[in-house]
Amino acid sequence: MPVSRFANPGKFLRLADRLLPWLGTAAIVSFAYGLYLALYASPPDYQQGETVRIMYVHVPAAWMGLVIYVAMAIIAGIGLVARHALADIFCTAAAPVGAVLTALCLITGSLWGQPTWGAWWVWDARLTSVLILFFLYCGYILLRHSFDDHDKGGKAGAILLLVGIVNIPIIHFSVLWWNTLHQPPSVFRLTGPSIAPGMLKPLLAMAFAYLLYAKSVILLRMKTELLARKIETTEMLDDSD
Amino acid sequence: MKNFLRLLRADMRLQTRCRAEWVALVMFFIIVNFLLPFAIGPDPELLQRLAPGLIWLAALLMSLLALETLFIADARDGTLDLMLLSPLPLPLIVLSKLIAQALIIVAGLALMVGPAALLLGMNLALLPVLLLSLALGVPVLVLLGGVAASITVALNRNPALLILLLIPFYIPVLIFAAGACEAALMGAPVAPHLLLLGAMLALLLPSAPFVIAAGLRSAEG
Repeated sequence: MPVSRFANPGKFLRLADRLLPWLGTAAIVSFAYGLYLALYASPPDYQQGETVRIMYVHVPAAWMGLVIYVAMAIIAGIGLVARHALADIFCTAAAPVGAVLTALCLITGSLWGQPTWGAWWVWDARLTSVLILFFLYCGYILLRHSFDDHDKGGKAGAILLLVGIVNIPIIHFSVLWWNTLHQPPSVFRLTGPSIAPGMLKPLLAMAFAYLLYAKSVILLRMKTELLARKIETTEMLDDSD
Repeated sequence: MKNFLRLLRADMRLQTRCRAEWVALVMFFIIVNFLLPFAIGPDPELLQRLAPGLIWLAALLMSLLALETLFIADARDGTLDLMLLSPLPLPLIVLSKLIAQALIIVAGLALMVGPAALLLGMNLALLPVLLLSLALGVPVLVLLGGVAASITVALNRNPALLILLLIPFYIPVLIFAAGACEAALMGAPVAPHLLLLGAMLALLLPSAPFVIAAGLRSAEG
């Protein structure tokens, strides 16, 4: 198993040290390129004008918010079954990143909604789903931090993540259904059915930049988390002397 | 099976003997319904329109209150250790506990939904649909609540955290239940909403006890 080789924290730390500078540089470069495309080299929308540029910050944040949650749930599941030492470290490190990106999605969405819909918040199905995702993140982070015992906390967190991933489709579907009962969804559609190719390229570039950013920050946070736990153990050993 | 029924009877007896707790829960439900008109005004038309949703909200809050102590009392007095050591499979013990808990809440609601509906001036033709949605929905709330209670049991007591964990999972139940009442109000078919609630119950009833058992084991292990 190639993955289990990195269950050894020392090996993982060495690999992380080697990867981090590359990932970080790549993230900065792709952000520069993506932002250049998004803010200068792309056309304004024929209806929304310049405000459409919020999309390039907003949509990738939403994607990453969901992707990180799914990744956490999958890795938590693997961690529960295979007792991989790094699974809990990954989830602890990734959760705040996912939560912040989801919050960014909500904030930019609100800023975008004001000029286009005339309201900071509407009870649109998609908005509500993202808000619920944010609450799921908050619940996980608070639960995880309530435990002093990493072993118990990791297991409790993993169970919550797995129950959450099973429920996300149910929640999303129910919210969609709830909303269509009250108001037609066509009014609050974020984009048209198809996106212009001139906008697709900056969007994908930004999504790629977000992905690299998330990867490097999560890797850095995993490193810190590993070191923090090492210090904790050393302190505990010192106390017992 | 015989052991399970015996266990269920014991759990039911435990629940019914703690009468003060049960009465407090039922009173909580009534008080929430009683307070709402003060918060939104006494306009009968408005109250009638909002009544099913308000009653459901009160029922949801009442379930949250009941779940707060679900496994904590057992963990404190050592019952949980005996549950883990028992020759009966742990999911079965958990299931019996949850069934007893759900039955006791539904029984309290069955008694009090009528008076609450009268207080809020609800259209009484809605009552059967409301009761049916509660009978299907409250067990779902209890099963989901059991999962959250099992993973927080090692933390001893943190009701705010429990509520934060549960709210995202409670939203679909609230949506389908309110949808059923809304459909009944409009004269639309209520069956799809109730069937979806039933589907959630059918999904959770066999799976939640195993998840809860895993949560309890990791808390004690």
